[in-house]
Amino acid sequence: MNTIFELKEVSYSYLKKFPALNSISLSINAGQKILFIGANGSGKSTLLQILDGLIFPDHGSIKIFGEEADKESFAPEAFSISFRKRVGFVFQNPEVQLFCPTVREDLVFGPLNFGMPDGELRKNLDRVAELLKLEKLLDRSPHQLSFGEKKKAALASVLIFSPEVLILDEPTAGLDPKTTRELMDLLIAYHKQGKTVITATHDLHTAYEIADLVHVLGEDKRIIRSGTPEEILQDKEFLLNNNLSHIHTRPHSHL
Amino acid sequence: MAGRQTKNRFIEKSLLGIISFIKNSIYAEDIASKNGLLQHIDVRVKMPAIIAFIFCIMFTRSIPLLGCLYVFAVLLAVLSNIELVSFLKRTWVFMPLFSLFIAFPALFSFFSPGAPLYIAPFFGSSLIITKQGVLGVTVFISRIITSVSFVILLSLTTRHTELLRGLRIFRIPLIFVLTLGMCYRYIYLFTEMIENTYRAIKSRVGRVLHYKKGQQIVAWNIAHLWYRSYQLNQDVYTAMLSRGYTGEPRALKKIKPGEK
Ligand SMILES: Nc1ncnc2c1ncn2[C@@H]1O[C@H](COP(=O)(O)OP(=O)(O)OP(=O)(O)O)[C@@H](O)[C@H]1O
Ligand SMILES: [Mg+2]
Repeated sequence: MNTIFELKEVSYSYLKKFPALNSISLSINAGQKILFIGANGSGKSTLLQILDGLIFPDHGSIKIFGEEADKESFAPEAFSISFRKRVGFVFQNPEVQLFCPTVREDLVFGPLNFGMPDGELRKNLDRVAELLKLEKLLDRSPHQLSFGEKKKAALASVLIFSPEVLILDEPTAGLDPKTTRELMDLLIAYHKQGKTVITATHDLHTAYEIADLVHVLGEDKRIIRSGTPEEILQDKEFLLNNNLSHIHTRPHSHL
Repeated sequence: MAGRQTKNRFIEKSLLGIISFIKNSIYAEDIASKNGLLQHIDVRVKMPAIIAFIFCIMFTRSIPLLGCLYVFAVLLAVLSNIELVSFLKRTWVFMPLFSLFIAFPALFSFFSPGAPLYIAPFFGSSLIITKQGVLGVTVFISRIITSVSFVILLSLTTRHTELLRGLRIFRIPLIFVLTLGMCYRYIYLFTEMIENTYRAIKSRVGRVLHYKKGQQIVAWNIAHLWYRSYQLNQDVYTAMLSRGYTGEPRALKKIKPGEK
């Protein structure tokens, strides 16, 4: 099987002071659907940024596409560009991902950096705009969109170059039920094209569909459990102990 | 006690007022999408025309001519469906700023030597207001107000994305236009942040804020805003990296915004 990411005892702390990941070991294969769940501050976003080569571990090692990845290996432009083309990352906060004057320019930012030919670029632009229903928003400024619209634009800015590996940080947070459903269908379809989809979320309902393997990050920033969604979601006590489901002091009907 | 409270509320109100005013003057997309004279003229024509007017203004010392140009600017505003009062407010709000820093010193003989008009005692010595000084300041103020009016006309009647496009057509370096676009975005984000922070404080502490406490919160927030802007910059940069940015903005001109 084709291994894409291989992490060995990876630790990371912000400013060498605030621990964010503690000795994480895991591997991710091509074509898998991986889900990270964990309470707030358990290190999900940090882990995804490590996978995307945006930050590098303090300790431990990471192999990406079979090659040792560190600051030096990302330094040559050619490597960096070819990696960025293969791995797309949708940030948790769409605010930081949209930085151009118009949505249209934001969408083409990645492909332009990768040197996508003009004709192909236009075709892809039309494709994602239709896919995410952004046609009417293309000439608006991203900062004046609603939160959900921003989320969609951020996703489109990555889907436009069809990366082999799609990393999503809380893709459904803040979306309405219908949009969430559409997004899920989109991700499932994307995975069916043979892509690898890696997601972090608190939204347990979505786990069955966007995961065949779930890693749970605990409060101590370690992976405390890995398994199929069925195994993990059925263990109510485990979820409760790790802040992943809530306690009903009373049945809902009494509210 | 009551006096302090009203004063407090006054400060709160004017602070929020200024912020929302800045926001509304810079982000007046609603005016840009109105049906009016200047809204219908393409930036490629509008921008050079307005720059030409501003050059005229800079090189004339004739007060009647400046007056005519000012009246013309106001007329254009009316023809472009801009509310007169709000237009005048927007232009005159810049006056105190300019007059304080530039015009005021020019009044005095030290900067504009000439025939004394009025002599003011000033810490033992005296400050002499000169005729030439007054004339100079009048010309100066008319210049500022007229050119500011034209600039505001341009910015009010043009969507900001169009404006950036205009700059690009005039071969302003791409990196500059990109930076400008980002600044624009940041200002919006920050005014929004200040407003939201203020609302958040209010929702938690209620209406009446102790004067000292209020000062503390404001000071802390200003400090924190710097940190947040730094953090935001970092995060945006990371996001750019993640989509293949390597330090040079690449051929954004290939795709013309607004093109169907
Ligand atoms: N910029 C930063 N500076 C300092 N500490 C940080 C920073 N970003 C994150 N941390 C810390 O790192 C830890 C992990 O944060 P991370 O954002 O990865 O968590 P998360 O699981 O994504 O949380 P959430 O569900 O809230 O998004 C947290 O304890 C957090 O306080
Ligand atoms: Mg997170």
